Amino acid sequence: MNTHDPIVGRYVYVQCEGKTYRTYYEEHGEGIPMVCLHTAGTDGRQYRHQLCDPDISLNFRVIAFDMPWHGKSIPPADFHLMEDEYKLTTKFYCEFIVAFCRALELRKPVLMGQSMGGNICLALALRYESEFSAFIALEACDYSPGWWIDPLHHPHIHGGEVVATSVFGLMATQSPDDYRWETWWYYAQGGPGIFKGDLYFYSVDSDFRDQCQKISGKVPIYFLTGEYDFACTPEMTQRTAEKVKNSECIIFGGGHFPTSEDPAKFKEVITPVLKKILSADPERRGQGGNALGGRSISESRSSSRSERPNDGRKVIEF
Amino acid sequence: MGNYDTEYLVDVRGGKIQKIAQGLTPNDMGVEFWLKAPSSAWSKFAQEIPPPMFNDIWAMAHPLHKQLIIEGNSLPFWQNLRALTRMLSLMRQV
Repeated sequence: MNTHDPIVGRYVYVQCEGKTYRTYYEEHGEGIPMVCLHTAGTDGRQYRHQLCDPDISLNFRVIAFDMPWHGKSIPPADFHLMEDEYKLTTKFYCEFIVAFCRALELRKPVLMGQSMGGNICLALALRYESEFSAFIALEACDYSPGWWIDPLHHPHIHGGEVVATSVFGLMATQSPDDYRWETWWYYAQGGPGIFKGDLYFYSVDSDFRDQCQKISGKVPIYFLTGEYDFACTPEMTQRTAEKVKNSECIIFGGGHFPTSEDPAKFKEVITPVLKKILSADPERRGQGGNALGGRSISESRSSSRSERPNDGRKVIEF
Repeated sequence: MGNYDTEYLVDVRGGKIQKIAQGLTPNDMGVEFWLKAPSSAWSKFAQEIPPPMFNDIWAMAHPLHKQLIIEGNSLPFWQNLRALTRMLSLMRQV
């Protein structure tokens, strides 16, 4: 019997800084829109488990898009004429995320991002807080230096292998091998120089150490970091969260890529956060959600592979 | 490779480990790069489930932890990072 994921993929044309970007996104679910940001050099596939999770899609319209140059989103038409190497800036990153949300006519979505997608939540909270209803910043901190390095894009070094391997150890050793290597594969497929160029934002063009205190706190920010993450250590996240008003900090037993390296573990730690967001926004939850705060995990299974969502899976109802 | 007291030469050619020897001799020419950490750090790294911040060479080399030093010719180090990572991970299986 054939089996399909419930995910639907489409392309939308997004205008940003005077250029048009044909942008790929995937979505599933109904209710509160939740836009998901991938990590540096990869794409929205990192959220495939959350996109397929019926416990999430019952109340959230989960949307994961590929940034320009990533995944199935192509670079701008004139990219071959660029004289400088690709570099993601804080300004472009912020403006593109907002432009994407507006292109889909989303009203105050939840924004969830990991790694660089987590760090940009701080910039958006500073500059565009009125556009969002909550931020979920995974593996995020106010300053993450040291990653914009030449070996990641070098003519004598295989870019895909070195990029993927340099992040492999960021995952917890006990995360399932299949998922750790799938995450490795996403990285190995990135375009030449794109991971490094994203890290220009991550390590060079974003230093929020003196800005975090200025975040108003009108929009809640949930920080979640795995204890095996050495790029953004628990200490770095805790130090950041202490400065951000209306924030929570959750440290859990995972690594730098929680949505893709161990989706079952991630579900355990994100569920209470999603319940809080639902409680604060009950009018917008999906039609099927009628058990908020009711049952928690009713069945146990170590893995929640999305291909067979009804086979002995964990069931968490909101 | 080595800890702060003892060096070990790992000779790799054609994707296979040719020899592992304690200490260097005048005949061991062409050493490309070396990793040094306290034996206590290597012991944690080699656990089947290592403790946080000992799960990877980059974790141990992190400025916050300073458990590992990577020195030598960095080009072959980066060119062979995948094989090196795989080789080091085998310590967790023995």
